[in-house]
Amino acid sequence: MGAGHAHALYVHEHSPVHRLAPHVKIVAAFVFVFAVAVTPREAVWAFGIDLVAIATVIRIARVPYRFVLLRMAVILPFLVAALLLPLVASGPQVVVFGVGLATEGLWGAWNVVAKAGIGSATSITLAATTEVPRLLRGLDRLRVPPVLTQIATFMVRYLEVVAGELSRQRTAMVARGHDPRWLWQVRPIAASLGTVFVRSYERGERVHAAMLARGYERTMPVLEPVVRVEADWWRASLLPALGVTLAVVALVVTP
Amino acid sequence: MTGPRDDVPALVVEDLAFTYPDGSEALRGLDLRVARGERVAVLGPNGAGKTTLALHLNGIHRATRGRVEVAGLELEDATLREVRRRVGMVFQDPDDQLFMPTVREDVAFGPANLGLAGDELLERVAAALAAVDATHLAGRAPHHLSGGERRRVAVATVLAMRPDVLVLDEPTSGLDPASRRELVQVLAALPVTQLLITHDLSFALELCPRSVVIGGGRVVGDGPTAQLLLDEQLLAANRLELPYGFDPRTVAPASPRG
Repeated sequence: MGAGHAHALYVHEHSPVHRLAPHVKIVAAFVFVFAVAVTPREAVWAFGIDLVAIATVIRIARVPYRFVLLRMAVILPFLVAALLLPLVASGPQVVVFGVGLATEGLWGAWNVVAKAGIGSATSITLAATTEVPRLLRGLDRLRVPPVLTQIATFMVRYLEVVAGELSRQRTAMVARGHDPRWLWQVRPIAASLGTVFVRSYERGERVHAAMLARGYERTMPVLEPVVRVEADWWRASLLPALGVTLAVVALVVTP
Repeated sequence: MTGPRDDVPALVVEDLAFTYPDGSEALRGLDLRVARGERVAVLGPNGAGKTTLALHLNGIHRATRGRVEVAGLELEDATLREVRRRVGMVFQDPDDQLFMPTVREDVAFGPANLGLAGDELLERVAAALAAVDATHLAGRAPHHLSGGERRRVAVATVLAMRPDVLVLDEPTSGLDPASRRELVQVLAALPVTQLLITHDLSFALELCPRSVVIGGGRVVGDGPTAQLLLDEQLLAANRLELPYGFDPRTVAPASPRG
C-alpha cells in the first residue's frame, strides 16, 4: 500500500522547481546543457559558475546532493575513458609524480568530466523534480509526435507489470530447483523471456480492446486544461540564460 | 437529448452465433433479453462462451449471425460508437483496463473520447470515483493499487461514460473476501442495468434476482437465481458447483435492486 514511488529517479517534494510546467523545464534543461556543451574547455571559471548554478537549483528543489551524486554514477564509464586520455594522448607533456601526462589529454579529460558532470546533474535534476507522466505530457506539449509519447506512456505503465511477471517466473524456477550458474543453463531463462513476450503481445491486444470499448480513436484525449505558464518561462529561463551568457562570454574571451 | 424509454429493453440479443477464425464455434444461436434496471448473472463454466458474448455486446467481436440491440439501438457499423458508450465493459483483468498513468486520467479517458472537457469532464470523473468509493485514489498510479481497488476503479472508468448497461466479466476473480464484499456493496448501489458474468454462484445469488446459464454457446437455463441454483441437474450438466456447505434455501433472497 502507500503511494510507493517506483520511479527511482523521482524525489517527492513540493518545491518551486517541482511546480514549474514540465515542458518549460524540459526546454530550460536542454538549453542549459547545450550551452555548457559549447562552452570552450579553457574557460574553467565558466564551468565553476555553471556548477554553482545547477547546485543552487538542486538546493531550491530540495533534492539531496547525495541523491544526485549517486545517480551520476551512470557517467562513470565515460569518466574512466576520459581519465585514460592524458596517458595515451601525444604531444607536449607535464610530469606529475613521475608520470608523463599529455597536456592535450589533460584538457580532453577535463572537458569530458566537466561537461558530462554538469549535463548529467542537470538531467537528473529534471527527472527528480518531474514525474514521468508529467514529463511525457511536457513532451506532448513540445509537439513530440503523439505516437512516440503514447508508446512511452504505455511503456511506463506496463514496465512494472512485465517486470512482475518475469520475477514471478524466476521465483517459480528457483522454487523448482533452478540455479543458473553456467551459460548452458540459460535455456529456461530464454524460454521464460519468450513466454513473457507472447503474453505481453496478447495483453497488448486486450488493452487495445479495452481502449476501443471506451471510444479510443487513435488520439489520446487531452485531459489537462492548457494553463498559462508565462511566469514559469521567466523563472525557468534563469538557469539557461546564465549558461548561454557564460558560453558566449567564454567564447569571446577565449583566444 | 431523450433517454431510452422505460419499456425498451436494455439489451436484446437474438440468435447470436460466432465462430473464431481458428474454426471453434463459441456461440451457436444465443438469445437474451434484459429489461432496464435488471441485474442479471450470466453463469457458465470456463469456455462456455460468456466472455465471447460480452465482447459482442459492444462490437469488439462482430457476430457471424444474429443481432444485438442496446437500449433500442441496433449494433452496426454506423452505431458502433454510440453502442460502445451505452455498454460499459469491465474486463476480467483490471491491468488491461487501467492503462493510463493515473487513476484520474484513466477514468477521464472514456468521457474525454466522448468529447467532454473542462469542468464537465472533471465532474464526471469525480462522480464516477465517488460512486465506487475511490475518490481518495484519484492521484494514484493504477499499478500501485490493491486488487479490490483496481476492480472498483475499473468499474468507475466505465461508469464515467454513463452507460445504459454495465457488463462485468468475472468481477470477483482474485479478490479477497473483504474486497469482494466491498464490490458487492458498490454494485448493489448502482442504479444501472448490470450483466454479471461469473461462475461464483453465491455472488450471483447475492446480487442478481435473475440468472441465465450458458452452455455450448447457447442459453440453457434462465430464471430466478435461487431457483436455478437448486436445479442440481442443470448445475451438474454445466460444471457449476455451489461452494462447500452453501445452501441457497437458507440464504436471504437477493437484495432488491437499486
